[in-house]
Amino acid sequence: MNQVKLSFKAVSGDFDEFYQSVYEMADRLKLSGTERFRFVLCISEAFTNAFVHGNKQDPSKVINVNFRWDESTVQVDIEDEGAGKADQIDLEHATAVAADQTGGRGIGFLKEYADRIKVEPRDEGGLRMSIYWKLGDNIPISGNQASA
Amino acid sequence: MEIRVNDNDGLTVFSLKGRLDFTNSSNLKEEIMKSVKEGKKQMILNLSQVDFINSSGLGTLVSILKEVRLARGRMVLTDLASYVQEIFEITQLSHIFEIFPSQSEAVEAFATSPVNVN
Repeated sequence: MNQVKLSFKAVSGDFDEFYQSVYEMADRLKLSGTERFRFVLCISEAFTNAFVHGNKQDPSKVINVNFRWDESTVQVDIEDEGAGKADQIDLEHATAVAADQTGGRGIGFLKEYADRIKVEPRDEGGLRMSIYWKLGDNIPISGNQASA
Repeated sequence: MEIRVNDNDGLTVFSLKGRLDFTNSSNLKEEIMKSVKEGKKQMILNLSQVDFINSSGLGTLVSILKEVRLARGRMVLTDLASYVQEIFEITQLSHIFEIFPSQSEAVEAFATSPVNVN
């Protein structure tokens, strides 16, 4: 299994570096068009969630992004250093449909576009959100299984 | 995100380029609300060069739309890439926003029906 581990300080200015890394990974996985967009979207949602809700935009805290992949699967772990609890993220009821609300769609996109997502506490504190895809078919295959 | 603004016969066209997400969506809102305060309330957002948008960007567009409509203005979206269009469909925001395939079709719609049809 191949692996790339990255860390980002939780400040807005680091988002460019983050996106650059995700696009590079999409290139490695030979994703293009809609697949590429969905891949970046899911990781972006998890990263933004870690930045806003996990680390509460605290510039002293770090977000780790770990990519692991082989010929048939890819897993991306996004870890924050916040005080959130895994059960505060309601994967079961999350939906991308939020009428005319200004928020609440991010986790819904993950459910829609990833094959599986999992949220768990880290031993060091903070949360780890893991996103899985099967490669080969179109990324992603909807109708996933979420677990917390 | 790059924002280009053109005023044309009472219509303001915002041509957006780049990524619309948490880090830059507030700039877009500021720019558009500045126009609204100047009385320019009929506007087109051309998204042809928006290569990425996430839930933060969508949330900002919803927030802007609400304020524009509150000011009795009209804002429409045009030229969405297929994958951007898809997330408007999945979120059902396609029922809330007026979306046109092209800027010229949006201009025509303003000419025939200057008020918001939603």
